[in-house]
Amino acid sequence: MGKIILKNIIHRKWSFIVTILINIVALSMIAMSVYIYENTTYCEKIIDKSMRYDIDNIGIITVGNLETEEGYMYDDMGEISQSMVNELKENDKIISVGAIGIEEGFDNSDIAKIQHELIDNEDNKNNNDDDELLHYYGMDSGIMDMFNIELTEGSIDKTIDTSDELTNYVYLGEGYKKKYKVGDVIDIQYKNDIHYRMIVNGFFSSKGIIAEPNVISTTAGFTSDKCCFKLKDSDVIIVHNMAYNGAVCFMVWNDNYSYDEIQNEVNKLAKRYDKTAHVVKLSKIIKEKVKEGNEISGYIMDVLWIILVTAVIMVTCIQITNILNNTSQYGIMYANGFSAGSIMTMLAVETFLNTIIAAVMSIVVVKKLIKFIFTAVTDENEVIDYIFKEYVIGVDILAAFIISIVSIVIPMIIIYRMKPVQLIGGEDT
Amino acid sequence: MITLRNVVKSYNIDNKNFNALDGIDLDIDETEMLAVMGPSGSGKSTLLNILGGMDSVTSGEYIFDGTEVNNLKASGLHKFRRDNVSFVFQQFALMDKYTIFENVELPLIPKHISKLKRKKIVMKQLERMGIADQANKYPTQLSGGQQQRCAIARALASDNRLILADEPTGALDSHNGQEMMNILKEINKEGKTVVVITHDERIASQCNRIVYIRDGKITSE
Repeated sequence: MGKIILKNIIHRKWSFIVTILINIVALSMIAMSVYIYENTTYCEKIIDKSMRYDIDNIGIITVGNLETEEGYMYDDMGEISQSMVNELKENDKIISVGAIGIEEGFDNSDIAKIQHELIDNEDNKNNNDDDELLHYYGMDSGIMDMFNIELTEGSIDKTIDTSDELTNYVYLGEGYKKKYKVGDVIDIQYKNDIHYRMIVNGFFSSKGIIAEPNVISTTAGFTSDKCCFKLKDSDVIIVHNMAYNGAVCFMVWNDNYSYDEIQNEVNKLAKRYDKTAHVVKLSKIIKEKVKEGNEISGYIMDVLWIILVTAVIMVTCIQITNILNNTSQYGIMYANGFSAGSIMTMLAVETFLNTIIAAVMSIVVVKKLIKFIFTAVTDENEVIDYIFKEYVIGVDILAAFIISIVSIVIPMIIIYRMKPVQLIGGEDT
Repeated sequence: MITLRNVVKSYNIDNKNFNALDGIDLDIDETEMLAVMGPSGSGKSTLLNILGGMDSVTSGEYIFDGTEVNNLKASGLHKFRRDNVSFVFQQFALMDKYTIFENVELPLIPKHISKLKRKKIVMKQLERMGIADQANKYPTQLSGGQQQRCAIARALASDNRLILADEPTGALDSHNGQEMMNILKEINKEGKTVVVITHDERIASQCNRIVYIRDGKITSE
C-alpha cells in the first residue's frame, strides 16, 4: 500500500507540491502568529523567573505625582530620598528595598571608561566593539537579593556600606575570574583627580536575568527580548548609592502583609517627608503591559482562524479535483479487490504526509526568520527556542492535523458514495 | 456455481425508473465458458457488473457458491470481488503510471500476500503471457495485444475462480483477438469459469454456451 501511495504522490506531484506550498504558507503564518502572541505573554514568565520572590509582593515606589487615568505613574518617577529608603529598610514588613538602574554609554563616556578600566579591553574585546554601547547594572545593596542571581563565588550582602561614593562593590561575570578574585580592590583613576575603588564582592553565573527596571515607563513593544536582560560573563553589577532621580525604586514586602497595608506604610512615611507615595504592584504593571502587547497580537490570533479556514478550503478543493480526475484509477482498484476503506486510507495518508511535511518545513522556515529578525536587535535565541518548543511546534502540528482532517472529510464522502461501477465507467443503459 | 433468479437492476433517470436488467434468470456452472451477446444498451455490461459485485441488484437473487451476494453490503461486496472475481476489460483498464509488473501485482495487494510471494506470482503470469521481458515498462510502451495480455495476467494473478471479460477483443485486431480467445479457452480448461461479453459471433461461438440478452431480458440461449 505504501508503494501505491508513493506512486500516487509522484503521479500527482504538482498538486502535491501546490498543496504543500499552501500548507507551508498557512502554517508559517500560524507559527509566526503564535510566536508573536507568546513572545508577549512570555514576558510575565520571564520576569517571574528573574525574581527570587513572588511578583505579587514586589512593587515599584513612585512619589509625588497624580495618578494617570490608568492608575499608574508612567513618566515621572519623582524623587525619593536615601532617608526614606533607609527607613523602609528598617521596616519589618519590608524584605528588600532599593533602586536599580542600567547605565549605558558610548565608548568615550564616563561609564564606559570606568567599565573598560574594570574589565580590561583585552579580556572583553571579543564581546564589544569600540563603538558598542556598554552598560553595567547599578543597584542598592538592599535590593540585590530580589533578583534570582546565582553567585558562583562570594555572597549577597545587604549590609554593604555605600556611604562613600568613591567606594563601590562589584559583582562580576565569570569572564573576569581569570583576572580577579573575591576581595580584590581595583583602583580606577578618572579625570586625573578622582579615584574610584572597586571591591570585588563576588562572581555571578550567566544564568540570571535582570528584569527591565524601566518596565513601568517602557512603551516599546513589551516582548520577551525587551522585558529583561540576560546576564553575560562580561557583565558587571555595581552596588553603590543609587541616585533615585531617574532610577527605579523597587520594594519587596513580606507576604504576611497585604498590598493595602504596605501602601499605607509607604504613604505614612512619605507624609513625614511632605510627599505622597504610591506603590505599584509589579504583577499589575506586567499584566497591563502584556495586555497592551496582546491587543495587537490578539488581532493576529483572530486572523489565525481565517488562515486555517482558507487553507482547509484550498486543500479540500485540490483533493476533490484529484479524486474527480482519477476516478478510473479508483474504479480499477475497486475491480481488483480494493475496498472503499483502503482507498480512503490511502487518500488520508497522502494528505497527512503532505501537511506534516509542510508543518516541519514551516517551523524551520519561521524559526530561521524569527532568529534573523530578532537577533538583529538582541541575542535571545534561548527565548526563541523555548517559545518554539513550548508553544509554536505544538500549535503548528495541531493546525496541520486540523487542516488534514477537515480537508479530507468531503473527499472521503465523495469516494464512499461513488459506486465502483460508476468509477469504472460501466453503466450500460 | 452461479445462480441468478429474477434479477432486476433499475436506475432512476430524469425521475423515471429504467430497468437495465428486467427479471434475469441464469445459471452458470463451474468451469463453464459462457458468452453473453446482445446489442448496445441491452444490459450486457450491467449483467457483468452484477456478476462481478461491482454493482448491486435492485431486486432478485444472486447466489454464488451458496453465498447470497445480493444481501452483501459494500464491505462484503469488496471481499467477494477480492476473493472470487477477476475482470478483463475492453480498454485493458491498466494504470498508465504503473509498470506492467505493478499492474499485475495490483490484485495481490488487498489479499495481503507477502512481497516475495507476490513477485513470484507476477513473474509466473508474465512469463505465461510471454511478456516477462516487459515487466518494467509502462502500458503505453506496449502494443494493444501486449496490454491485453497484461490485463489477463493480472486477472490470473489473483487466482480467482470467476473471470469476467467485457469485450476482451474489442480493441484488438482479429489476429490478437483470436490469441486472446485462445488464452481464455486455455484458462477455462484449467478450471476457471469464464464469462465473456461480446457482440461478435465469432468470439461467442468459441464458448461452451451463448446467452442472448435484449432490453434487459434473456431472450434465448
